[in-house]
Formats: sequence, C-alpha cells, structure tokens
Amino acid sequence: MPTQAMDRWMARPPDVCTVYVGPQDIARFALAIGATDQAHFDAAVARSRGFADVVAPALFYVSLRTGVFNLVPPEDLHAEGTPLRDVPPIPFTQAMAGETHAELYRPFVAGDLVTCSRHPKSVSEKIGRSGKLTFVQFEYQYTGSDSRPIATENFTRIFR
Amino acid sequence: MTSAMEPANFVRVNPFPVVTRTYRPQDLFLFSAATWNAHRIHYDQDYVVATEGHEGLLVHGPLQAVQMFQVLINQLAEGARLQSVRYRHLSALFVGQEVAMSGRLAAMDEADGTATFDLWIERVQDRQRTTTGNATVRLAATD
Repeated sequence: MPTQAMDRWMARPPDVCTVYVGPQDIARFALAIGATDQAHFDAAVARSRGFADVVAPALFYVSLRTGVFNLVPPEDLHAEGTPLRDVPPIPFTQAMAGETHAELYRPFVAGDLVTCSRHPKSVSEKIGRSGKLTFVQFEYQYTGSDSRPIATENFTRIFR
Repeated sequence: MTSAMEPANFVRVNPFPVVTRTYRPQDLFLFSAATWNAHRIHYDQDYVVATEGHEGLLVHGPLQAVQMFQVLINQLAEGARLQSVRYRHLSALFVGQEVAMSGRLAAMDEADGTATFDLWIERVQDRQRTTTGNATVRLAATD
C-alpha cells in the first residue's frame, strides 16, 4: 500500500458541481437536525437579521457533501450504499465517518448558487484492535457565485 | 490588566446545559433523506446486524456532530459566530442509546478576538464518549 490502483483512484480529477440552495433544502436540513431558529424557515425573520432570505444552520455544508456528490443512479451504489465511484479499490467490510475539520466563512442562504468541489487528498493506514484501517481524506470546497468561499472541509472516511 | 473580553461576549451560559437525546429510526431516516445518504447502516436493520455485525442501526457521525455544535450555537451571544469546527467519532452509537451533549469554554484569544470551545457527546449507559470536537467562535466586530 498504496497500490497502483489506489494511486490512480487518488489522482482522478476533482468532482465539481454547481447547485442551487433553495428554502426547502434549508428547511429539510434544519428539521432533520432539530434546529428551531425561525430564520431557517421564515424569510421575514431572516431579513430582519440582515440576510437576503432564509439562512441555513451553520453546518449546512454537511448536506451538500453527500447531497451533491451522492446523486447517482441506484445501480451505481455499492452494496453498502455508497456511490461506487467513492469506494477506494481496497477490500473492506465497514465504512465510517472519521475526523472532520471545517472553516465557515459565511452562512448558506436560500438563493445561493454554490459550486461544490472535492478530491481525495490523502490516504493512510493504521493497524487497529480490529485489524487494518484505511483513512481516506477528502477536501471539499463550497464557493459562492461571487467566487468567495462559503465553507471548506476536510473529511476523512475510514474503511475497515 | 483587565481583559476586555469575557465569556459572556461569546456565550450566554458557560458551561452549557446538558442536552440529552435518544435517537430513533425516524431521526436517522430524516437525516439520511435531507443529506441524500443511502448508507445502509443507518436504515437497514437486517444488513447492519447480519452483514456488518453491529448490534443495531448506527447513528450518523455527522448527525451527532451537527447536533453537538447546535448545543453551542443555541448559546451564542449576539454578535458571536461560528468560525471553524473540528470533530471526530470515537465509538459507535446505536438507535435507542441515550446520550448527553454539552461543552464549555476552553480558551479565549484576545488578540484574535476568538474563543475556543470543547464539546462532547457521551453515551449515558457507560459514559463512553462517542463524538468529541472543538469550535472556534469569532466576535463579529473583529471580522
């Protein structure tokens, strides 16, 4: 490790996609995490606080990480549910979320056109109590239509 | 020398009140749906037990993290905003297990106009922490 297949998988071009963030996207995420601030649901409340429209919970980027890049046909999902293109060429029986670090430059607001990009940044292995663990770190960038960053994220997925 | 920055500049209460929660399958479904996440460990009981060998449906790490930081966000003082977060997951959390979430101020940096908070989620039954993290909060006037 790393194998040639892993080297090729790591060297693939970044995935890039521009998406519209709508008020329903924000409301669904807010309800799913139990955020009750009316600025997530009521544009008048959000405007009274200086936003152009309803404002998303601070960690809304979490919904874009999968909501944008997991949009694949069902037949393109691995047996455990992850898009096949996101599964590194290694044997594993379990996949789980690892360490994450995110910088938040401004909140996401309904009406934002967000360009989302990601690429695998690093891969490493450790031997844990339950055997070999492979850590794949992805770097994500979420950028507004003014080309300014809204959030950046380093997310690690662990394969066992 | 008297510090111009006080914990009250950043949060209304320190340490935060403890928030308890017991995740249900429908909580996991809503988060999977809102984030378009088809990972079967969060909704397929037969798969998660028989194929992956877990004791039940696993609560999403990101759901835990987002709700852990909401505990801080709910206490932010006016003019304070979340600038960065870091978190990791230490132990599996299953549907039906009660957790306690809380946090406290760890440090203030007057020159930078920021404060750092430690946060955690602890499984009540064995006091095992399932997710820990820290957040940097900045005063709007120092942006």
